[in-house]
Amino acid sequence: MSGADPRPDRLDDLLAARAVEGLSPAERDELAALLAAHPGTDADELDRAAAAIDLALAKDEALPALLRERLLADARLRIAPAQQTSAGRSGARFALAGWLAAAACLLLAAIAWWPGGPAGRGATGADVEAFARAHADTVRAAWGDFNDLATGAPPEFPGVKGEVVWSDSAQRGFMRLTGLPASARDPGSGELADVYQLWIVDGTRGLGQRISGAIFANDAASGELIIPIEPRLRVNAAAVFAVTVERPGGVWVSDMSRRVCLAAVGG
Amino acid sequence: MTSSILQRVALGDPGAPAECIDRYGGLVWSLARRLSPGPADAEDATQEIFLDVWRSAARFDPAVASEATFIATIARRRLIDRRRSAQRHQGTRPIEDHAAIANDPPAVERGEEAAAAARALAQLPPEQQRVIQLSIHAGLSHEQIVRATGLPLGTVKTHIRRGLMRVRDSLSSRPSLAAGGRP
Repeated sequence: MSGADPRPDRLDDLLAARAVEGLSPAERDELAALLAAHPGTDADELDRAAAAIDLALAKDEALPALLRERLLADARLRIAPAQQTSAGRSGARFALAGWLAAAACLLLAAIAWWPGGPAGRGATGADVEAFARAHADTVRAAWGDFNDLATGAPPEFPGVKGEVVWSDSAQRGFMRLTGLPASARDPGSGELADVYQLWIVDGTRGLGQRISGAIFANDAASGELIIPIEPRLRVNAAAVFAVTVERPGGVWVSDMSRRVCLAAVGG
Repeated sequence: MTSSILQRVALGDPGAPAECIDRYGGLVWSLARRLSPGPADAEDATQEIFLDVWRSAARFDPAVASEATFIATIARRRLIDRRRSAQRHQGTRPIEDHAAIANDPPAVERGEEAAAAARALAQLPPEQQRVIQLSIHAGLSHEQIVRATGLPLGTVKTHIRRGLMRVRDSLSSRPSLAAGGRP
């Protein structure tokens, strides 16, 4: 269990405290020093003991179905990017770890993945135009900076251009984006540190109820990105589209603190 | 050789994450519900826990711990970190709730490690069992346990440490789990 010196009680005290209620920064430093002095110590054994006790006492609760979908969405973004396919874009290769996701969210409503479909992966500018021709009610809205509505503060990523092409009757559409910075990745693990999320404001519901229309990442620093939009919840009359930066997997309700771009229909 | 779910996650098996979520999602959710101040926090915590699981899957060693213990260890660490950083755990549930939890019979269907832990717990004096349950299962802080039981702080800490070490010894004495390792 220990090196040349006997394992001190203080080391067990700290390991036990960490296993049940965590340590202060000073205690963490102290523990690190003790572990360094006793390299034979299994630093995780009391954590595992606590987990085993919890397993012995706990009873499973059913995982909510919507949360399960959210976890799956996270997993698809995180796991085995080498096995996943690239998504369509014109001008530059777009790799969202191979997955294009669309989620639908209306306050407490569902977030669900959209695996593709006719307008899914590999969408091009020609696909967008064909879609627009096929749906008479198609609207187009140009992206502009998503400034803070109260203070007018500029967005985190200003200058994104392009447009939204959307059909209420089809309940789907596309985003075309240029100038969108590549998604941040953790320098150590290479995993996505955040994602972009599209929100749709339904003019019949009001600003407070935003429907999530897509969750996506951008691995290329330049070129046009074409992202399909297919919310699972019905949009009666799309009025505003907004892109924010959110944590991997997206969020159910955004605080809109990390704003990117906004497009207003008829604006 | 049949790989475990976590080993298949680490290898990039596209079906493994869903299988992992379906098998252990209820466990993680129950831990998150119990050790989080509210449902929204529990949802966020569950999401973070599974992200930790995906990151750590390659380090899973079935010779060290079962998948359930490995995942529960990851979950507890994340939940403890969240609780400390939020500094809002105290007072989220009345002590009476914990008394009810402490009276629940041990669930030994979680595998050999959980059964070994339950047996080790059962051998502890009742007072120590209660302190362990309040600490680990109910998630009370040392100070909260002092208020709930009237025991001195030093006694509470000693009960927890010795109880954990007793369970550790019961786990490490099992031949298949004698090696060290970390999630």
